[in-house]
Amino acid sequence: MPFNKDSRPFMVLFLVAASVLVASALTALYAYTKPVIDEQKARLFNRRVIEVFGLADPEAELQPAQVDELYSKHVKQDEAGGMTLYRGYDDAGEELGVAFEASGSGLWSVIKVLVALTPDYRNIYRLRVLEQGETPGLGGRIAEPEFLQKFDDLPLGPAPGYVGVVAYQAPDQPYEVAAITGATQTSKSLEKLLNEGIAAFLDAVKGGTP
Amino acid sequence: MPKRGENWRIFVKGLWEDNPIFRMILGICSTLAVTNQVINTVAMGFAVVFVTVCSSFLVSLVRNVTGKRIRMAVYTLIIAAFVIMVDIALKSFVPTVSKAIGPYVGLIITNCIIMGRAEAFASNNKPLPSILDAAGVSLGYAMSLLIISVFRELLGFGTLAGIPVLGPGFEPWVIMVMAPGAFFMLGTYIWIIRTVQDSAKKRKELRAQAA
Repeated sequence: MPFNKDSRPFMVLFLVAASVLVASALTALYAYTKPVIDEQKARLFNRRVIEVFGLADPEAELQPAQVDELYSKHVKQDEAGGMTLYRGYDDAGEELGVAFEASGSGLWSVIKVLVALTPDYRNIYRLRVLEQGETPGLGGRIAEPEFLQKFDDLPLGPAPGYVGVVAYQAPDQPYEVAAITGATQTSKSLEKLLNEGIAAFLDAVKGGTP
Repeated sequence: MPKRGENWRIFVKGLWEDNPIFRMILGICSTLAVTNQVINTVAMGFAVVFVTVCSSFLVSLVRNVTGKRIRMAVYTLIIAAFVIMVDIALKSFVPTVSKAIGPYVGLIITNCIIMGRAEAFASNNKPLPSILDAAGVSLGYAMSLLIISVFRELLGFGTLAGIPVLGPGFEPWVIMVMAPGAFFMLGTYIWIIRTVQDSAKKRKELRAQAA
């Protein structure tokens, strides 16, 4: 029988063989690169933790080893009420604050931030964005240092509006910052997720530690 | 058997005469989506060139054993495999770029330029011309994207590849980095190039008549 590439059995066989071949090649590649990718993700997170305690300039180029060193020297991981907390210490061993993750949906994407509060939980120490996919140049600017530095040492307001991100008018309370012009939705989402995150954190630490 | 000149012609065709962006108007979604910053555009361009060339080569290699009714499935399989490879490579070597264009990398699979080259050329041509054809068309795509992104980033952020160019006194045209800016830029780009192409063609015809 002459070879016929359009015969049904051959086509089925060909497609199955091709799928198996491609799938195994990709699986091998994935397995090979997974440790590298996981390590990079973990390191990026650690870098944000260092930044949120003001131990590294967000703009600075840091070698992986430097990130690891700063993290292990200044940060201790802790847990309270099911929340993972990161406690930051300065060179003298004095506690700088405690950081935790907060997240919520923005205009287009999930926004994940790292919030650090001062040890007495009265002020925000600093704020860093871990993940966002907002409009570049508008909402995306929530990840820029110029915006984030407004949160440095910001006192917390009365519950449940610990933080205010106000649009259309100038902030008139000590716990308020101005929203990004042209990105009101993203700014408001940030306000919401911060307030929810801080509430959850206070619940966790007050419920967990007598 | 195609000659040397023939291969060259196949390559150049995709760059200018049959450029996917301003002639065939293919692959527009990614053009609109990733061109607001030069760095992202360069990464996207490389990714598409790699995927198009590799998949055209492979499609051409298996063209004589691929049944007619399963050919689309085979193309998709091949293209998807290369796209996932690119995605993994970006994630492990340039995580920042991967973050910026992440969702669009996966969407390269649906880029009609790649499927179009596989179906229109690689499926009935030898591997070498298929590679050249794919390279020409995908480089034509990358070139168009780069030109658009240079203008969008320059006007929208006042920077080029992240480096401030226009100085602090420049008020960024925010619309250029948003979706409508992409449409305006793309429209203007196609308009200008087509005008140039048409007038070049007319001149050629006139010369031919005169001769």
